[in-house]
Amino acid sequence: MIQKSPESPAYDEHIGVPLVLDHVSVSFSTPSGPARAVNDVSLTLNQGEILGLVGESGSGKSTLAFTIMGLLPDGAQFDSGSVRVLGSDLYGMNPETLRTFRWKRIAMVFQSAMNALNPVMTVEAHIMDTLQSHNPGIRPEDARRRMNEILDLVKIDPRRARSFPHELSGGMKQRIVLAIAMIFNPPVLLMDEPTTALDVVVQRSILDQVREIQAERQMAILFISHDFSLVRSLAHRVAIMYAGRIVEITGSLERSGPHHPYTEGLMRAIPELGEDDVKIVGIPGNPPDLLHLPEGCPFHPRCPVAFNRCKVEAPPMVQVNDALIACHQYTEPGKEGLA
Amino acid sequence: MRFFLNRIGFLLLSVWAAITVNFLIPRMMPGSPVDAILAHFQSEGAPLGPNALHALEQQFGLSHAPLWTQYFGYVNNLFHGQLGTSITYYPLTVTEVIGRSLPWTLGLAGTATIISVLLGTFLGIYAAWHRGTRIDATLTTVTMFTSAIPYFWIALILVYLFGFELNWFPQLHAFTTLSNGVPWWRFSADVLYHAVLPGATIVISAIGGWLVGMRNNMVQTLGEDYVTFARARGVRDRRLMVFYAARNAILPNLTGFAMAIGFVVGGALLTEVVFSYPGIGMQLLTAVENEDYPLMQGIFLIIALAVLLANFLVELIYGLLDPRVRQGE
Ligand SMILES: Nc1ncnc2c1ncn2[C@@H]1O[C@H](COP(=O)(O)OP(=O)(O)OP(=O)(O)O)[C@@H](O)[C@H]1O
Ligand SMILES: [Mg+2]
Repeated sequence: MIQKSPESPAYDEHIGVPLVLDHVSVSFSTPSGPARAVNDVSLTLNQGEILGLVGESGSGKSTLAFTIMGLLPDGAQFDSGSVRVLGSDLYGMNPETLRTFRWKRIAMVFQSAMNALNPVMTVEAHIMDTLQSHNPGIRPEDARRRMNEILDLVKIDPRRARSFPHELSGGMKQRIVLAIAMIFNPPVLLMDEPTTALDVVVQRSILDQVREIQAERQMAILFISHDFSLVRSLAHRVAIMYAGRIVEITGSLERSGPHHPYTEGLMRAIPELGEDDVKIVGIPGNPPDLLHLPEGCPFHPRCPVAFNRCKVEAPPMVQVNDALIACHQYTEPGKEGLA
Repeated sequence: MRFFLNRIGFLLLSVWAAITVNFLIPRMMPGSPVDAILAHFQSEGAPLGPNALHALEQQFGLSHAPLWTQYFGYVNNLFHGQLGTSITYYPLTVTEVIGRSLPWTLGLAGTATIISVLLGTFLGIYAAWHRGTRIDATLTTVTMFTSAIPYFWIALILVYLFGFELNWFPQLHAFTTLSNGVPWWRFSADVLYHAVLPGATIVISAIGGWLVGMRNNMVQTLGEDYVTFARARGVRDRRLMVFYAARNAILPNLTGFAMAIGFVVGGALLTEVVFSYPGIGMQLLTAVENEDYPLMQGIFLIIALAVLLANFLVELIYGLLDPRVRQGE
């Protein structure tokens, strides 16, 4: 399955790296032209790391996750770039190889766990289906043992396996979807807002389980959320997405310390514990329309520190301390700290 | 089990309602059907015997007994399979007339309906799976076209082309008047041969609806998260198509199936007329032309019962296929 390709000398370095995205672009064809939902995204997810991915609704987080899974919906097109999972080029695989690769090497917890289960199938049928699709000759007792193990892992009573999806609470469905994602112990896991629809208590207990399982197995997790404080408490590094682009990847999640103006805006929008004057400030303006992206930096119409260059030229990613930031403040030496 | 009893209860209730309405309607009609009937027989110069008169009175309330006595008499007759005497086919009873026509209708319209439902559903699944391709576009356009052509028009074209011009198939009737004693298989072959054109008419005009309906439902289920999730989990295409997408896409169509199967009993009126096919549809036409109220009433009752029964069966199937329905009661 691993093929050497002479055109990419960087290839060998990536063997074993859970996930490497290289200049990935994806667009939806719409009646009024292509809408680029993922725009030139490059990022790396390392062994044993939880990488958070944060952005407003519609910024392209789910589309990016589906791109990584090779599961683009109707109307979406993979324009350019490459997705390497554990060194293998996902978009260079034939469909059958991809089918068996997926879920064993990389799995995903869907944003809408409520709708991820077939309404006419029991939980058990879902789990058996998954096991048999990858291992047609599996013995029923082995399959059942594995089912009980993973249900145990997410603290679901195995007797629940007989239930149909509509008989389960939202939290249970979420746990079962998580269990199904963990069924083959995949080294790479994508979690797309796994707890957004749940109340805080259920959310906490599920996240604790995720943390526990992750620490035990040293999985690499891409954790998607629009809840900045949640991601901050969970992730080692955070990538911030805006209008289909990654505008910052940072290991420093403190407010201080250089950030993209958009990141600063997100941070200001959450109350800090123990702060005297809790002042929540939103980011003025609206997220851009993907069909009419502004010239230059897509954030400039909402940016408090934008200057002329921002309106004409898209900023490249540059290293600033611990972070990679795409902002002209940091590419133009004289302008730093303008804010 | 509770679901089952519930449905049975509903079936009995609605059957009772249908029977009762069937009893009341002729009694509430302005003018008396009985007068029409009597006039008919008078003009034929064949006055009714006292038995037939009595039956008519019972059926249409000419008698002066209180309504509820009439009602019980009527229900009692029904339970003994007595729907009255046909005027057109006197002295045959309505039950006998229906009994002779029903097999033809069930055989022709029933088979043709089942073929169009099955074929349409399969092609719909196929088109949805290959959505956006040329095959999908072709199937959808062609069947939209065929289902837009008026029904009797298809029949006439088929008769003209294959019956008259090419002479491949018989133009009329359900079978050749063969002498007695032909072996059963020759007779069956003859019946099948006669059924081709009328059957094709029904299939051609009905298949498009099923195909497009199934295709659209399935395109929708294919976009559901549970289908994407199953694909992500490595579920193979064939399984994905059948057990995830098609399985859920069929559910909304079941009610339509029920109606179609139920109405089969009413006969494919126009088809039967064009092809002079001796089914219920033909009888209904004859009954209307001859003001044969007992026969009409009997046919309407049979149609109503068939629709109710088909609905009942489909609800049971629905319960089998959809766990939410089973427990939702
Ligand atoms: N099937 C589709 N057809 C056309 N455009 C789409 C489709 N799916 C998503 N988009 C567009 O792509 C963009 C990114 O959507 P996406 O679902 O990836 O956002 P998201 O960041 O996951 O949002 P959320 O936080 O609400 O889940 C949006 O502008 C959306 O309108
Ligand atoms: Mg999303």
